[in-house]
Amino acid sequence: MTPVVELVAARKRFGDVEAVRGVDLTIGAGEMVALLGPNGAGKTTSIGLMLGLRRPTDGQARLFGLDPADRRARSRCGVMLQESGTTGVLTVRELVDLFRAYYPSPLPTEKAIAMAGLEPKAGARAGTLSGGERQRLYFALAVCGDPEALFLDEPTVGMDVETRRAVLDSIRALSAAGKTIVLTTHYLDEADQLARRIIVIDHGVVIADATPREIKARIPSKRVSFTAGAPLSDSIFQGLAVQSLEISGPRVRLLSHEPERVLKTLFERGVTVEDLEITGADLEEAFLSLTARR
Amino acid sequence: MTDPSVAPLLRMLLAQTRCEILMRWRVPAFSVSSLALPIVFFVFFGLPVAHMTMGNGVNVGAYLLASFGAYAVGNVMVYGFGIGVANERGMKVDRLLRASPLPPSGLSRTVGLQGPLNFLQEHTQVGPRADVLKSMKAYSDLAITAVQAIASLGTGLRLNLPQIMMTLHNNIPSGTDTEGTARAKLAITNGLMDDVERALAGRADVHVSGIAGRDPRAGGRCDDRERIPDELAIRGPSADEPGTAAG
Repeated sequence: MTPVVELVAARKRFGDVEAVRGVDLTIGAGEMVALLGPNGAGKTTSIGLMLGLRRPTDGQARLFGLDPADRRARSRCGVMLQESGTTGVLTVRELVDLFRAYYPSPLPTEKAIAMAGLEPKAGARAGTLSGGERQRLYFALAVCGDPEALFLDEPTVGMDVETRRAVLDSIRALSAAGKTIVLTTHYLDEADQLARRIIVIDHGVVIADATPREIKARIPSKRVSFTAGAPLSDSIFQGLAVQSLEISGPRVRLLSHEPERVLKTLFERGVTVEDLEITGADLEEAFLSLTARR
Repeated sequence: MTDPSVAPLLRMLLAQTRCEILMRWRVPAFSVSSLALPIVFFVFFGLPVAHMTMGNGVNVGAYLLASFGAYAVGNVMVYGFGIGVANERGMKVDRLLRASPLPPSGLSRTVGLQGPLNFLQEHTQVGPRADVLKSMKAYSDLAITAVQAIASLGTGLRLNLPQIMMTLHNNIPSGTDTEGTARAKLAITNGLMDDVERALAGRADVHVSGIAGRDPRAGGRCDDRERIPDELAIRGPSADEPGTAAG
């Protein structure tokens, strides 16, 4: 069976910056994949390569085994892009109708609007929508063609909690119906909730491609900071699962995915700990440590 | 076209055209200046003299109708496609369209307009208004070519100068002088076309009426009474026959 997306040693250079530095990816039909990475990691560029919005400087990109710019390939894809826009003077229903016309066998207009939860706004002009409603409109435009594959670049940005949950439910339902879904996000929890496969991209390379559980085990998810009774040296942390260790005088900051075990070992090694704080590490930091480890 | 794996082109084009028209209609800066004003102008300046005939037998009303028609077409180009495309790019509308199955060419955005115009022309080859319609068709032809070029620019493609040249060139020898004049006038309306006009003025038989009395075929001499037999050749003030409209 032809994979939906194939990137073969794809590279993309913008002047001096190489945004994507040799990505090999295969996404099969029916998969639900999250591309995860900090800002500027190359997620959006990778999506752009998959969709033929950008040509790889080197390597290959294929969509349904075709050139990504081929209309036959694009007719099987629904797309929601970061930083795209629509004309403000058309109504939601008119825009959905317009995009339906691009696809060979679209969904009924009202169904596409309902999937995005935009029924109360169907007659409103796009220019009058709030940020979250606009994201929902883009979602409606992505799904209205009843495509086999959906590419969602940061789909939940700017949505309130309730809307976000509703859209995530829609995405889950589409996945359950056998659609291939590729989404980018920098929320680990979102990727974790939705995807069965997470591809972590940083600095233009794939640094992990695994199930959410495996990824989470590799990402140091907790930040530990404390003041030690006496100045410590690096050596006391030897053999412990800690990353981005910072020691400045008695103050110690570190990342770990098993803070309990780290602290237990530290206690056993006779370290006195005061002013202990354990917080969820933000993903940005976690990714930095993941890249630094390479 | 019949490939079931893609949407029929015609359906796309109709939907796109419908939306483009709605979009223009709902922007008063466009709809008033391009639709209402030419009609108002015609009512004020055209209707009172519409019954008159120029010295060469051309009805003044028809002449002015064609002129204001050209004015409207020029506005469509400037507002609809010049400013419109710039606006859309500013709002990043093009990004989503480029990722959609809509063919990646400005063609699709404009070609829908051509059909009705062709129909109009084919069914009005005879009759007292044939010349007017022919000349309006000539304006619209070039407008559409220009628009395609501009829209292509908007969707990130190259400006298709050769295509514009072809349209100008193909039509001028085959059509009447009216068409040539119409095209050239429109070329001037659109500043983008200045270079095309300049390039053509030296060799093709184009009457560049915006520049008073210049007839490239005559080496720039004002001699168009014989050389432009067509009634709708629009001349600058120096070439105007005194009192033509009064005849």
